[in-house]
Amino acid sequence: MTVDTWLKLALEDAERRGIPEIKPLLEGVAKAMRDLREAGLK
Amino acid sequence: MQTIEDFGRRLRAGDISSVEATEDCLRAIDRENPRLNAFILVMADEARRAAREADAEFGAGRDRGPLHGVPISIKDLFDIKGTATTAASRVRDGHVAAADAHAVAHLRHAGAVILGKTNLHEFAFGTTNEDSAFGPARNPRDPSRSPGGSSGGSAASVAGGMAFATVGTDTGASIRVPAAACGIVGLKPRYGEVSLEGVVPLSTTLDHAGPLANTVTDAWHMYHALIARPESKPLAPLPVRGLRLGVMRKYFCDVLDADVRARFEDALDALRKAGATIEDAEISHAPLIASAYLLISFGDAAAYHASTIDKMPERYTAPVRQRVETSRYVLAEDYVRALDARAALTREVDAALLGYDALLLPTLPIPAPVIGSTTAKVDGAEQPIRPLMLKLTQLFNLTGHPVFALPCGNTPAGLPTSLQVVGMQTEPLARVALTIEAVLGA
Repeated sequence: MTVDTWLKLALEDAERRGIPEIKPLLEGVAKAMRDLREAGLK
Repeated sequence: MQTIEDFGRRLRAGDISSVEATEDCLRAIDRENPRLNAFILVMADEARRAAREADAEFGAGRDRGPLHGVPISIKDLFDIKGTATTAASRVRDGHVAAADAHAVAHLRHAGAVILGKTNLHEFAFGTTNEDSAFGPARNPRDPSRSPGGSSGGSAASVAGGMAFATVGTDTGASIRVPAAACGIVGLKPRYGEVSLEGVVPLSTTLDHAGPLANTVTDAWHMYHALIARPESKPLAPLPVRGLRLGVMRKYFCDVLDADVRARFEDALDALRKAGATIEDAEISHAPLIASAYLLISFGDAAAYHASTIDKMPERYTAPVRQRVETSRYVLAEDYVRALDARAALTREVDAALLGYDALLLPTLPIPAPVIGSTTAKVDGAEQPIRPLMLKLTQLFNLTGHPVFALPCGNTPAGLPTSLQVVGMQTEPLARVALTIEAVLGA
């Protein structure tokens, strides 16, 4: 799953579950995922 | 400032008793706790009883070592038999510990007198101590400011003169940042040295337990008790001349408050003038630290909180609930990538330490923030508080290296600053820290 797809699904799920306030935190997790995927340490 | 070392001298000279020291602390709690909110639970009767027993034992010729009769506080994340371990959360309502945490049992065995349990950021999931079911703990230097977190009440109990020392936990910052914010010494030992049995976890792969105290020697005595070797030998400093210190500037000194930077550079100058060799040291994957830390800490926290966040989400404070809810979205494949980054960072810190007795860097990039603030201005730019407070400390939770946080002077406004001293093993590191403490205190 790409990070963009993950983020889209996570944001939709947070909205559906009535916790839209976590959207900025999810964007922070997406940034961390991108950083580590791009680093390609293994 | 009351130190364990001085108390021990006076106790053994017959100039003070444990009961007198304990009553002094209980009076300080009565006076200071209403404004600092450091203690969640004060165990006055139990403390008085333990102090009487310590005095009786000492009078009968049994000396348990440096912590004999010393009044201390315990972060309310550790089980104390018969009391609630609240973790500063309503989620834990009704809990009563069936036994002491191993660390608490070791401290009792070393003769310590437990005064009570201290406030923290709920479930240790934050760096300011603002999100607590019992309200925020406050900084003794300026009660409008945070004492740091998550062991904020612990640090405030020592800096506020209510306890000789305390025990905290550190998953990303939580011993060292409160020590820095309150102007005391914090020790995050090497990963796994202090038992976490009977301690509410945040991240079982990043959590550490350790002491906060007024001096390196006091932290050393607490550390020895915590690892069940209470008969610690006196700590001897090293010659400053010949000490080799690596300074971690790149990434770690990129964003620093001007006063924090000035005090850090003053400390380096003092060490250089005293004869230490100081060079720059570097960690090449430093830009990945925050990302690896976030994914591992969130992944681990999700596992622990899964059932309670489903059953009673309303009992969490809103900010901690948001973090826990977010943590459940971390993918396993990204968690594993974070573990790969962790392994690379550990190798890099090991390699950086090869040429030095210790690595040095600041502890907290800003002075203690005002309670309620979400950003801090550094070099003219607003920076979000939470990642900023974690930025300089979280690496060593990933790598497990032992770290002392030492006071290194005050800002013009009288707020403490601090530097970290990082090593391979706790015992030789303690000697380096003692040496640096002596230079900076001279």
